[in-house]
Amino acid sequence: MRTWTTILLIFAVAAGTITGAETLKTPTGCVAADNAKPGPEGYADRVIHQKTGIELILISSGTFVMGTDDRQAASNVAPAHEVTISQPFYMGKTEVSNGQYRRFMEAQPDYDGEADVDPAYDLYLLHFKDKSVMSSEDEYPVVWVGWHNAMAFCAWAGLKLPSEAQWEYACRAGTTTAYSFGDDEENLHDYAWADLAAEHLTHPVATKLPNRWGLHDMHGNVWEWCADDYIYRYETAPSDGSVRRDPTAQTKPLRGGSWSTGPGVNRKTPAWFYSTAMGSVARFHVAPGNAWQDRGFRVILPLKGTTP
Amino acid sequence: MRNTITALLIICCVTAAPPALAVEADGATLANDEVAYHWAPAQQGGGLIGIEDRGQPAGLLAPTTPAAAWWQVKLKDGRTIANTDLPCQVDSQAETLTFTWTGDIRVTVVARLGADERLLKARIRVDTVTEGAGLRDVVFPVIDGIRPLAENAADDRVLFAFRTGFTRPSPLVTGEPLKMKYCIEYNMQLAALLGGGRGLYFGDHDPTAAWKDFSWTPDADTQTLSYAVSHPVLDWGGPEPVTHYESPGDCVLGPFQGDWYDAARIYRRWAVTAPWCAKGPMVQRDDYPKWFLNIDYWAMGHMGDYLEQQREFIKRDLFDFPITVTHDYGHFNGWTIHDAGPEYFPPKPGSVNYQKVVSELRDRGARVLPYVMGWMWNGASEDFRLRGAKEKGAMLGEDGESVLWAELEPSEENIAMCPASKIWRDKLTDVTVEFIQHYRTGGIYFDYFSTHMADCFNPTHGHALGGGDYWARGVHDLFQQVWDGARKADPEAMLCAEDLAEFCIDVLDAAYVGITADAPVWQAVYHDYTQVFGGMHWMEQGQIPLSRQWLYGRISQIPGTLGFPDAKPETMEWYRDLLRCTHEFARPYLGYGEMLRPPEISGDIPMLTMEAADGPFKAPAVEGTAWRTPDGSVGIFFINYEDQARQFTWKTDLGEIAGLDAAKRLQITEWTADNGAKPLKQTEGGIVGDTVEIPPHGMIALKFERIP
Repeated sequence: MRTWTTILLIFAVAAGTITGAETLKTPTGCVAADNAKPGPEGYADRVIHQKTGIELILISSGTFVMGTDDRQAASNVAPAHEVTISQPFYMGKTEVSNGQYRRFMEAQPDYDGEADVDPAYDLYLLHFKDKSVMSSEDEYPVVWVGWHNAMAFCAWAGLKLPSEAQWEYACRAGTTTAYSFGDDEENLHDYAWADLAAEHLTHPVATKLPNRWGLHDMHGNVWEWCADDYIYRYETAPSDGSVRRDPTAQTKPLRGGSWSTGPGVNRKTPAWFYSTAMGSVARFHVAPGNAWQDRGFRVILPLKGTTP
Repeated sequence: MRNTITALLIICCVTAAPPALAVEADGATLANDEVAYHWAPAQQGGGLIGIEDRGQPAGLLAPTTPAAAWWQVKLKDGRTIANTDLPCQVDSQAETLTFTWTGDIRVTVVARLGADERLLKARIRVDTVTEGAGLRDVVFPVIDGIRPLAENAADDRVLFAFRTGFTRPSPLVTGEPLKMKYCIEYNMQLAALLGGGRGLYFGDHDPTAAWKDFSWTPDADTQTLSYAVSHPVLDWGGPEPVTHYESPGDCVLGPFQGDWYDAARIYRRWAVTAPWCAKGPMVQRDDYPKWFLNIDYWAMGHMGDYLEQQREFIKRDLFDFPITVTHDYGHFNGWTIHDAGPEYFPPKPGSVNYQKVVSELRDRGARVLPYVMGWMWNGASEDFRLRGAKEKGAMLGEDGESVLWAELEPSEENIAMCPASKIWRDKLTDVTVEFIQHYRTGGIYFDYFSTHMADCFNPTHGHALGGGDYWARGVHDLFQQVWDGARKADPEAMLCAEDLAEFCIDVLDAAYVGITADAPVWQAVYHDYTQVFGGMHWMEQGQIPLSRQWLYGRISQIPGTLGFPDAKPETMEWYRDLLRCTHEFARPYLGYGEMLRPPEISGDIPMLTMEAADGPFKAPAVEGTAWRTPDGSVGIFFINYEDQARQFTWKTDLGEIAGLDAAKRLQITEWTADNGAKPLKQTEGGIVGDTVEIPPHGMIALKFERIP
């Protein structure tokens, strides 16, 4: 984490377009990461978002099949349908960490995060107040944040939450299997902090293997808020991957599972359950104010034309 | 021996009252005009060797050895001592025989037979004599050599008090022992062998509801059964040896005429005197929620997932019946039903939304009943960890160290909690009060609560370690605390739990019973003391399950809150008629009436194979039930399960089943879907009946009231 700070100081001066002999395009407010390569349209495939310190991975446009018709899966992930992500976007390499969220808090001391969680309960950043056993150290994912907290962070940072389609597209990383690493649940713990292997705790981000596109913790560690309203099933889902809205919806979707879901020590639960709970298609939803011990978020930065 | 008994009986007949007592060299006897019980000579252990029903040609026992069994005591050091191992002395006094055995332990059994009773009552007391010896289990009674009752042994059945009750083939037929653990799955303390129109009753009428294992064991060589009840003694796992045990209630056994219903009535006569029935029948209780007494049906919902459906439900006034329960599985803030418990706040749709929809439903007469995990706490939850719940309240296994993990999908994080621990009682009380007070839910549905038993060996909880009534008392007192909190928050709040637990009837308003099979013992014993629900049915299963649900007095329970949207209109109309009948007419009987002997039905009625949770069973295509309310009126109901009309004759003796004898003038009222309740005719009491035709899937609903 401290290393990144040093790097950021250097790149902040350069305003973001040169690495070595090669010129790389970067979005406003970002600099190319030191190992960046050219991506689509000449954009750096990895950039550092200067305001937050978040490393972003460039996700190319493409078409994929979202959801599944597998009858063993939850009914809310059907029907399988084709989605085309027409514009590349950057996505956080990791879930937003405590350290990155602290930057927001320091920059916006008047922001009343308490107002954005459920009014009846004390839920906001409990791990920063010694009211949670989750770690408040910088490299751990931020938890105890509601959907509006995540949106406030994004608004300050000039970032966005992904649509569900963007999230699933990035998670799959070109795969069509239950998980981004394949179908074999045996490999889950190589890629995810899940269930008992996670000791019922969050873990530092990016300490498991990434998916094929370099994204860490797409399965496990913390559930990730998406920008959409939660709409049961996909019959009315758009084919362009845009954010879905329903003015009557009272919950927001979360994706990817967390440390609290996954195979346990006794392994009595059928494999399909876990792919339903934390696989690429898995969807969960709660009210936007329901911050919790295993809920966090990941950001995106659209290159252009997207409107989350 | 036989001559002695005969002589004694002659004396009895002359004097006409007290039972005959005899302590002879060849054994002891208790006898009266109806029955006789014989024990082996004292030098052969004094075991029970004979049960005679005077009206039957053969005795009910055929002991294979004179050294017959009667009791066994298992010591903590692994030794087992039986009545045949120790010298015995028998004394007689009034209506009792007192057997005393002395050795490393001292055992006393007192057996009583009333002059006009058919059932023997016995109690055992055990004391250790050798210093340091500790008791583990007292097995009493142990009865060997039980003969088949039916002419064809394959027709014998044993009564099984699991869920609402059913019968199973005799273990002599299956060749497999049958074990029943009270109160985990076995929910009443009775057993019976049934066959040939008679039965052999075994009851453990224990008002402490201590846990016990009932067992039937077949002996293929002698073609007899053994019956035994094992009682793990209270605190057997404690640091000090248990040196004393005595029966908390009567062991009751003996022959009777009839079937499962008669066995149930024997048990009922005692059960309604048990502490859990002290508040009286529901309808007479001031503390029983009146709205719930008049419930029309029970709908399973997932409000957190389908709030829009709830709104639709409100708009549609489902079935036009105002008093409903919406059983909500969807409020969970966590990922699944089981691994979120009981950390439910804020509810999944948010506190404001949940509060709003619950209130809207309540204002329309539908009360929301949230599901609450009642036995396990998610060990990964913040509250569990921050409060040190593992140390303060987790159940520990026999080794005193290992935490009991629930083998419950999808998570292995669920930790079984001790019902006697303060932290768990407070946790469930807090959750209950919050739901009721803050969200105005109608009450709470507790899962995995009353009968999912395991002894806790955590010495820091302050309870006995193992055996006895630790679990029943712990659960009851936990419920009592929750009950007190709930009623303080809302005097009309209701509580219910899975599964049936007779010892909690006074602190629960409804009992989960599952699907009714061939011998609904629970209804016959307790139907007027607690409402029964559960055993949800889908219309795709056909009309039989819904019909039986109604006929046997269970709250009609359906999946979802929109009824059966895919059902044919005529099928829905049929179902509405069932509910209408309950709402307008049958509620005092099918809802909270005392179950009476079902009417006899004859005619060309085929037997159907039906499905229950415990396997298929057979029932006639037309069935009837009878019920009595506190006002003395009797309701009789019939259902035709098939899609063709049937003519049948029914008969019942209202004098015998309800005291409405031939000297009493009765008004008969019939309810029909077309006309509602209309006076039908007047008649005399006593034996009543009729030959009638019942339409396809039809119902007949009759009320018999005494004319003053």
